[in-house]
Amino acid sequence: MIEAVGVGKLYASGDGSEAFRALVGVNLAIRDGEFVSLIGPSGCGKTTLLKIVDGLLPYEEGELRVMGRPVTGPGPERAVVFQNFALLPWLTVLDNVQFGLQLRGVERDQREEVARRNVATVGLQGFELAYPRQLSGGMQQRVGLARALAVDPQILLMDEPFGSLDAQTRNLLQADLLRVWDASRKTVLFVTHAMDEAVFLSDRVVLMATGPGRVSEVIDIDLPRPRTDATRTSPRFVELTSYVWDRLRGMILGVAETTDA
Amino acid sequence: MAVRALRQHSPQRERWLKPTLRLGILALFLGVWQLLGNDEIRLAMPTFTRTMAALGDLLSAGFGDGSLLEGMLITNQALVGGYLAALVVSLPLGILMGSSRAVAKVASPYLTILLAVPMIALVPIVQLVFGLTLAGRIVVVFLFAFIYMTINTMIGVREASPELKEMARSFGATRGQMLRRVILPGAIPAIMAGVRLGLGRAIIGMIIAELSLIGAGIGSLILEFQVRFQPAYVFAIVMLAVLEGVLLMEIARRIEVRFARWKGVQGVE
Repeated sequence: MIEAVGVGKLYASGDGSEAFRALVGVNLAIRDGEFVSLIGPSGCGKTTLLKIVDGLLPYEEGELRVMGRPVTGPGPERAVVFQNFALLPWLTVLDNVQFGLQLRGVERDQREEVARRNVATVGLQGFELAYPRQLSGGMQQRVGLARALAVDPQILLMDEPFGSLDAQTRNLLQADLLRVWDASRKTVLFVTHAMDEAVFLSDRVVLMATGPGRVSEVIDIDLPRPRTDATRTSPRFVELTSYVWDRLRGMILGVAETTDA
Repeated sequence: MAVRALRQHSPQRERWLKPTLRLGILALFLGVWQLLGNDEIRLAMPTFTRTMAALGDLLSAGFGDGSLLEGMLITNQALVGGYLAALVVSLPLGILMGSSRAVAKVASPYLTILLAVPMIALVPIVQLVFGLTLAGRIVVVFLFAFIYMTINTMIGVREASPELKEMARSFGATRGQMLRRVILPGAIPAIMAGVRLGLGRAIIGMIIAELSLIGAGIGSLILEFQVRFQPAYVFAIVMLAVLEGVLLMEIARRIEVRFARWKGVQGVE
């Protein structure tokens, strides 16, 4: 579904000296219907990688294929759920959800029906005519999710979507996301900085390291599905989460040591 | 619940407090005017009541050559012509300057000059080129109005949220869709503020054009009553022009609020 072979990202420096390497040698193969999380310390390029997969950012090295085709820009088979929600404040919930369909020239009646269905899927019935400002952060991100689902993408790219929400809201949204994913079996690439979130949601967790940003390790999450609140207290969940934390701590301390030296 | 009740209480207080305050200040102003005026000496400043009588006299003449209503109509031709021309030029120019760095670079020195130079300094040049014509007065109104509308439109377009633009690009927006669905709606509050400011400036331009490039409008009437030593009539005409300005600005303000409604939507959580 998504194949990255030696993908690297360079940012040209202003003064013409050596370019800054944001990502180097990223190899990743994500299967159809798989839920994969990217996690790592800040500066590891996880959001950059997600944006490269969406085609929002160009890459300079290697090759990236989505559904067998090289990525040259955004495409209808991919949709992003943004960290800051990115809702249009002058549109109602319903109009925000049908934004992608409107850009694609879908007829009003049809796109409104699709939007209503997706608003219901994310549990926002009754808020169709509300404006984003009138909603809590969690509800706004439900709108963001519904907007991405409305264009019926095969691949859902989620950029720290629950990062700005409180812990309870985040748990609820995680459970709802899994329910939606179970029903649709879309491929999901999910960027997060929360270890428990990555473990709870994913089939595989991709650990990324900094300096330059790269894939450090891929961890299989063998927790049974469907995952529920009971999953969060199971010994295996605790074990996997602390394993991820061990690896991350090593990385962060490693960075600290090299900075000190 | 207590907090809710408190919140509901204060707008109600404001509802009668504000108009009362406004009426009070107006009454105070008119009272002082009345006291400062002098109706014994015809040449002295007229009282409020004498001014109102003069206004009634002028308005009762109805339409016709040399009447106040006819004069207002002629004067407003310059306002309508100049303001519409400014709208037609400012909005596309502002959008262009906001979306293209190159256009902004080329045009901004001229805009800076127009911002720095008092427009009234350009009136003699307009008079030289156009003479005492309607076209000249339209040009003056245009010059006064267009600069703020252009700059506000440019800023509104330029400051469009990068996050929203990225989102639209991700969903496959074309350049045209980006402008129509993301950039322009986001710029509407800034554009409407410019449209309101521009109207205020256009009204100033209209009065200045009327007094300096005297045509058949209220400018010639004011001149006529000045020459005939009838200050009450001069006051009456100026008062009518001021009232028109206040009325137009209020309409513009209401339109602006309406367009920027999404910015002020209150939370209901």
